[in-house]
Amino acid sequence: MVDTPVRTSTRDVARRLPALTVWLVLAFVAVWVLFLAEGTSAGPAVDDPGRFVVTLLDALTFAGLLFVVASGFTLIFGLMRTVNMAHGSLFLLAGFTAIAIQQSMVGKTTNIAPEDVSIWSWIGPLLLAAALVAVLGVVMHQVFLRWNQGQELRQALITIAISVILADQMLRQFGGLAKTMVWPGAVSHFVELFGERYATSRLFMLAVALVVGVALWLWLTRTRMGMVIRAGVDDEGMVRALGINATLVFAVTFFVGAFLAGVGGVMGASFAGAATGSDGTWLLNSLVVVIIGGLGSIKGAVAGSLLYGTVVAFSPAYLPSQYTFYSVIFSFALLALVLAVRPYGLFGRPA
Amino acid sequence: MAPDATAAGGIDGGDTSSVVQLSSVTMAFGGLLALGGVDLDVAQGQRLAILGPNGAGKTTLFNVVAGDLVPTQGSVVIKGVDCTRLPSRHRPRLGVARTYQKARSFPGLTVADNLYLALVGRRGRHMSLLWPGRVGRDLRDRARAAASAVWLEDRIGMRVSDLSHGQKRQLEIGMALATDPDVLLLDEPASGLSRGERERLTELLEQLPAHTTLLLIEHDMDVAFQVGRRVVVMADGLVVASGSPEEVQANSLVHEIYLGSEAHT
Repeated sequence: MVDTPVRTSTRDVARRLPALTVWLVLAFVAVWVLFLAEGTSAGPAVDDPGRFVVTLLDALTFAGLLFVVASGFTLIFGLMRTVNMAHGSLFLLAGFTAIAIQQSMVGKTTNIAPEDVSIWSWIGPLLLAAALVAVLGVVMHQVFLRWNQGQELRQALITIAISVILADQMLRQFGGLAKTMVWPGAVSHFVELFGERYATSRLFMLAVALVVGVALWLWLTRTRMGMVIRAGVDDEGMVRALGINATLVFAVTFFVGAFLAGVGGVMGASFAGAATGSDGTWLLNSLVVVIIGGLGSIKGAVAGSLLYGTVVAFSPAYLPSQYTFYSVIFSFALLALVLAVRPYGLFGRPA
Repeated sequence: MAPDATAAGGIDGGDTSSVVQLSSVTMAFGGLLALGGVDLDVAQGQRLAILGPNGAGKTTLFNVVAGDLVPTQGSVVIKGVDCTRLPSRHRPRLGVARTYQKARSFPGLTVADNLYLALVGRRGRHMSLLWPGRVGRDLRDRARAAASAVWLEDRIGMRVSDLSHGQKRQLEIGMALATDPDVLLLDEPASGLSRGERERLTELLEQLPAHTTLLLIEHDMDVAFQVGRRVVVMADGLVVASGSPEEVQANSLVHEIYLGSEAHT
């Protein structure tokens, strides 16, 4: 009678151990950031609230960009089980293309000042470049992937091949030097926040991400097409059995997924520049976000972007100054921690 | 396809024309012969129960009729159209609806959305996926009607993942019925249902409109013999007996291979 509850509670503790670990880690990080972070570049948040708010905004704005890119990736995977390894290439191609379009719209190829750039000579190239890579994505799907439906490994290899070819062709066409898309003059200011200067362009980036997120949510939940896509995520074969033209739905989804990679690419090219190699980086970023959030889930893409963005922004600021080069490790610590508790990601389901 | 259609009309003549016509259908999976030359004519409005021990080829037969499998040999003609090689997504437009042995629906969507999608598949034109407009509202009303037909009107806003097993079965049959099918294929609809739910199901199947042709795979004898007006018994990929429920129950061969094997298990 006496030992039964004791044994149950031990088992209980063992079962909750991963979750407990997560809460302990979170509590420690919060206490560290708030009070203990002496000797870091930012200092404890209670001493320097301005720096904390700025880091938080950095996290949010970067998460916005992550979400735009990763939501396209997760949308395609969720419906078609296609791991599009060329997602990063579409991202970079859109960035380079938008820069070229912007240069011809402004009429200069070098030293473009933000004052030269109207809001339309930023949004115009964004839409054109994203539409271009979206069409490319659809062609890629129709020509190479469609008849390999369900062959995940083959599709992954095909898209890797496409990404290698695209990387080479972009190097030939745009050269190996980093180029930058110029933010429109209207958002190239600084605002004063808690005594710190903060770039309006980053807030603008967050706003664009919010618009994309809301549009995506409305499309998926309020339209018939979105309903078919959600149904296809549940059971693609059953959608076909009901007589719904899944091929059309697949093509549209691939268009939208690639379009989102393109929008992200243009945002990324404005935010950090477009350069050879960032295709791989952003494929990896998308993968990290969707693995944390759960493959195929838009909610997961939101959660994954926020978590990953937070880690990326906070770890260099709140690590002791001589250890900041270890900050990259924390992204993977986050990954390991999430997968230890939820092996399919936060919002993922077994395939 | 045209000669087949006229032949079917010619043999049966008049209003009892074949709706589903299988001619020496063979289905081989590698060395395994799941169907060994099945001939089957189902007249319009017929209520056909298909019985047989596990592995007799009943579900394979359904998959061939529903277009999920292309037979190795033989032909499938539905409503005069040769569908042997026509992919399954064209079946709903021909008026064929089916349910699966393991209930299939969309767990992340509501009951209403599931029924709505079933209607979209039958009625919707392809591009109406992009611009639903008035057609969409009409289908919404019909989805609501379909929900009440299977006693799910008060569950219409619920996510399917929150329904009980019996309710999921009801929904699946509702999705098939919503399209007002000419040919309805039900694969073990009573499996896993409680006694009360089975009686409800039987009642539902007996109320089917007269023009609907029903093909029913069922292990539950009460349901099969009550609903079926004609019974086909399969064993080892072949039709071994066919006739009215009374004839089949009296058939000694059926006793040996089917009812006999059931007595052992």
